[in-house]
Amino acid sequence: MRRMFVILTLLIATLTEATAQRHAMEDFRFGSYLLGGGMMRDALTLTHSLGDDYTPEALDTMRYLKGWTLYHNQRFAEAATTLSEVGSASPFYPKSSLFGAVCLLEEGDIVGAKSRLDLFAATAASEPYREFVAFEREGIALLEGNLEEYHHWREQIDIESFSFAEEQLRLDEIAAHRPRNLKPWVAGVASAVVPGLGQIYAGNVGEGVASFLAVGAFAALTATSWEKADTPLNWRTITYGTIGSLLYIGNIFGSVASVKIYYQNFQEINREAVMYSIHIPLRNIFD
Amino acid sequence: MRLLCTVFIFLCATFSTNAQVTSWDLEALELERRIYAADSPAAHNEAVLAKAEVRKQQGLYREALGELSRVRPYALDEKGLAAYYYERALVGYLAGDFDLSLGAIDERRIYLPGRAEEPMLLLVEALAAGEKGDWERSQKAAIRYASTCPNSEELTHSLTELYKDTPRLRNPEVAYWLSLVPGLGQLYAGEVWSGLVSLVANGALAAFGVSEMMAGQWLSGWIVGCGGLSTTFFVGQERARTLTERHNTRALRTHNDLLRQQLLQ
Repeated sequence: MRRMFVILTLLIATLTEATAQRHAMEDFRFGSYLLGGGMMRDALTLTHSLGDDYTPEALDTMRYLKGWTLYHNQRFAEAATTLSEVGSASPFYPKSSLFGAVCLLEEGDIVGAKSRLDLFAATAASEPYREFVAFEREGIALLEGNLEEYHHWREQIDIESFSFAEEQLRLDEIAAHRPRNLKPWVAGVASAVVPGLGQIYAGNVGEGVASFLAVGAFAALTATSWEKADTPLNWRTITYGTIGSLLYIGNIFGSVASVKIYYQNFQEINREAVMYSIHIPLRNIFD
Repeated sequence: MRLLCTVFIFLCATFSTNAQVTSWDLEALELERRIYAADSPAAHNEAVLAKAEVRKQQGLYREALGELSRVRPYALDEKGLAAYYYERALVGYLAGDFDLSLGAIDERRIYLPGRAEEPMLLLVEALAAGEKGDWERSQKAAIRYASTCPNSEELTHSLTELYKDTPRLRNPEVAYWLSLVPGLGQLYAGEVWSGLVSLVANGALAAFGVSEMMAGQWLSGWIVGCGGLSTTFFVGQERARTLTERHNTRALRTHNDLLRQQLLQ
């Protein structure tokens, strides 16, 4: 009787594990089908309805599936957390680590992305992906504006043998293209001397010319009104003079702001280009 | 044996608790599982139509249209095909895609020429054609729908009265060119005050420009008078076009609200 009880218990345990494994396989296949078919809403529902009654290996796969689904739905913060839970024994560990770092970068967490990549690089699983790690580190260095570190990681990539040579060249271009050394006070002084010159200094030629014409027109109006009336105390001179002065002062402040906007735009464009360059090869290889 | 029964009941209770999850998304997911595992076009269609219904109930009409596009019409019988075209027409209307809605009705007439049209299909046709401003088609469908209603005579009469007073839609391009005379485009759009403001603003700037030139203030006349005048003139033209489009939208909305009110009474 006792022997029979033991056999029965073992049988039930084996069957439970086998069923869990089978469900995991089915859920994974179904989840991949949903993602492949672009059914993001269903994929999200599936990942939220998944339980944790899987074997440890299957649980890793399910975490990867959930993280990957969240990544596709651009819920990067949740995706980063979920992908970080995938164990290093899982075949999805390298993909989860590399994409987890990208998700953190999307959230602007550069420190988190670096530590995620360092953690991954310290495992044996990262060996075949050494250049991927270096490539992501290159991108992070560019986002930080640290060219020294960029070149450090750049040396570890053999562009000839690499499948993302195009994106590497783009990163090289971004690294070579540094922002102009502009000073806001120079733009302000330039616009004070010649209205619009500050905007031209910041690279906005059209805006500069338009400002010059507007301020110039009101200056001319003020001058001719003054000259014809022989006195500044007439309604034309006062009105045109006031409008012209406001435009003149506004233009000086506008020039200072346009230098700040230049730097903001430069950083934004650079960030987008770097993020795009990092995403593409990863998607090409892992999708 | 009693223990086994208890365990069985407990398991059933747990299962039925899970099955009672009424979230639409979970239901849609289960239907997608059925689609995924469907072993025949008929089973596929059944699950797809049910999933489209779920999305419709959720108010996700675009998603419902997407689901309906996955239906395999060749596997539907005549009744199923009629129901499918009706769903496409209805969901298209609800999604605001009136061309798609009317297209589904046209398709149904081509592929099911001998089959009597459901009153609800005529109702959708009347509403969708009304939204497109196609009064002739809308009236025809509405009258045919009314003939199927219990209060047929009364409804037909009120609908006939309603269609006598259909809004005349105005051409935004005509408004734009009428604004060559400042304010006339706005008047064409039915915006009297806006027309007057445009007329006064343009007139005032023109008068200012001329008076400045006559006073020998050429620069002031040219820059403020002519510069300001050209700005208000071109802005007035664009505004006339926008106001006409807004007038058309409002007129359509008012009429179609009345139509919907009468038909759904």
